[in-house]
Amino acid sequence: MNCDQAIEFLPWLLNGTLEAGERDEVRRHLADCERCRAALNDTREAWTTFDQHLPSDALVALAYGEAPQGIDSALAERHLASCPQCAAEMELARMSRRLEEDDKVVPFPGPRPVDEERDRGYRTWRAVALAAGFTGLVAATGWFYEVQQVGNLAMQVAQKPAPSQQIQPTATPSPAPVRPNPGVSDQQVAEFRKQIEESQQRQQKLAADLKQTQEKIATLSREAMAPQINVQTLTSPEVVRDGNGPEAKEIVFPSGRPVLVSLSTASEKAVRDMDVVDRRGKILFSERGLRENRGEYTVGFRAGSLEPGRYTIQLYETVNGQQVPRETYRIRVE
Amino acid sequence: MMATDQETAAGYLKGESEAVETVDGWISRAAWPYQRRLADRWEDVLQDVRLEVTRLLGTGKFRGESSLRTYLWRVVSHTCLDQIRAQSKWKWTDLDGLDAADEPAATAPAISARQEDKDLLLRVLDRVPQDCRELWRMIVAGLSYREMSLRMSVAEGTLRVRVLRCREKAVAARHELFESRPGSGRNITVKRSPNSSGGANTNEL
Repeated sequence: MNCDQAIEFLPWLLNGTLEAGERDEVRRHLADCERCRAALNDTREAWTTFDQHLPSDALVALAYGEAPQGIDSALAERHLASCPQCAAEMELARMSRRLEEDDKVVPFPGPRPVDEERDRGYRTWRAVALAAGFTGLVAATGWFYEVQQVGNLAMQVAQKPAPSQQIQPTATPSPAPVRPNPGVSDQQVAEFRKQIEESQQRQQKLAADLKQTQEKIATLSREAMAPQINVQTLTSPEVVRDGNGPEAKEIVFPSGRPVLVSLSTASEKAVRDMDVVDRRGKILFSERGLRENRGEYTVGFRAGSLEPGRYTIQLYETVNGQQVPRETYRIRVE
Repeated sequence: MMATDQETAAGYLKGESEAVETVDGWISRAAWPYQRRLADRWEDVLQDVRLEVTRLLGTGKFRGESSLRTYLWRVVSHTCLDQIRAQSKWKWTDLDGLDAADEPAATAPAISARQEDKDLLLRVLDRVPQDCRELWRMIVAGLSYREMSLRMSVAEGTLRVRVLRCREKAVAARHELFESRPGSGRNITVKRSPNSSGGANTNEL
């Protein structure tokens, strides 16, 4: 490998995606070539330059409509226009600010207090563990009982004088020393042996049940501990406005983006309860005490919070303690 | 009666349930937009935020220039953004023994964490053509040259040469800007890894 070839590979040597053969060749070349080591340094500099982003405090300042400290505002704006990563993060900061400024924006799903969520996860896991533990205990108790039974039977068999054949104890516990017992007949021995076999079968079944239960515990614990959230890249949120009434057209928005939906209402100062219902009538989310703001209720849907499909947002007014359906909105998630 | 910001801050530090509930509610709501990006790190980040809030309030950093609510909101945004960035940083491959540490320092005018350097580096980037930025964004994101070649429908050799030209432009722009600034004789060294700073680095707001 010559210098030109080695230098061309340097960016991918740094990002670790060269194949083993290429990587070893480049490394061997670098070890002996001062010029290419200087080029490696240049490549690092270039990497650092191309990996520049607005500092997070600048993004937060811009989200609050302030000039970022230490960075020219026009430069920051130009960077935002050309850097999708910073633009996406800026949108997150703006959405957060919106949640600060307007208590009437209801984040969906939730907001669920973090502790409650953690506690719910813990309760699920605890319930699974308790149920599985109890099942395991029952199975293990049965297993020990059967082992004990087999031991007792083996001892009784061993105590019979062996007229024609030696009966081998089959159970795991060590049998007691053999002492002749003239009081046990052949018929009883046969009966004992039958009981031993049955007992062994039950023991095998219980052992199989125990194993199955242990596998179930492992599966359930994996499910209980698995992360519940899929990671998706957020882009800019949209504000969708639509009229009210059952004949209102569908509000369409993509599932992979956060959306703020403004639901307009003719009633002023009205407090509404809200259900988000799927096509089968199942209530997915509920929110009580939604407050009107300039003729609108604002609801924030997190990216991916609704699967693609059709849903209904139903608003209710509480009259004399009774929920009365008011505005209905149809939404389609694509 | 609504508690004042100072009362809420003091109550939070003392662990009074009402103040803790209020502040925790703000933190959860402020961090809501970041939840999806932080995914399985979410709980840890919220805990980091709480620790940071406790530290800031405990050391008297909140001086009442804005409301406590706004102040905390910004701390949350700041911390969450730092965490998102920390988890998406691509690490440089370790090249022990091949680093140009023994090269003359003059060949490596690079960055420090200083704000004016940050501004300068953004200016360098601003001077580089957009197509170069897009090419290098893919490298920084960890794409191989084969993946890039397929994605851009460009021959691998052509792609590598283009990337090299972009690198040269960036280095030239950087040297030009760094040398033209006042006090350019300052000795600045290359930061070894873009991920070396680790987790959140919340500036004190």
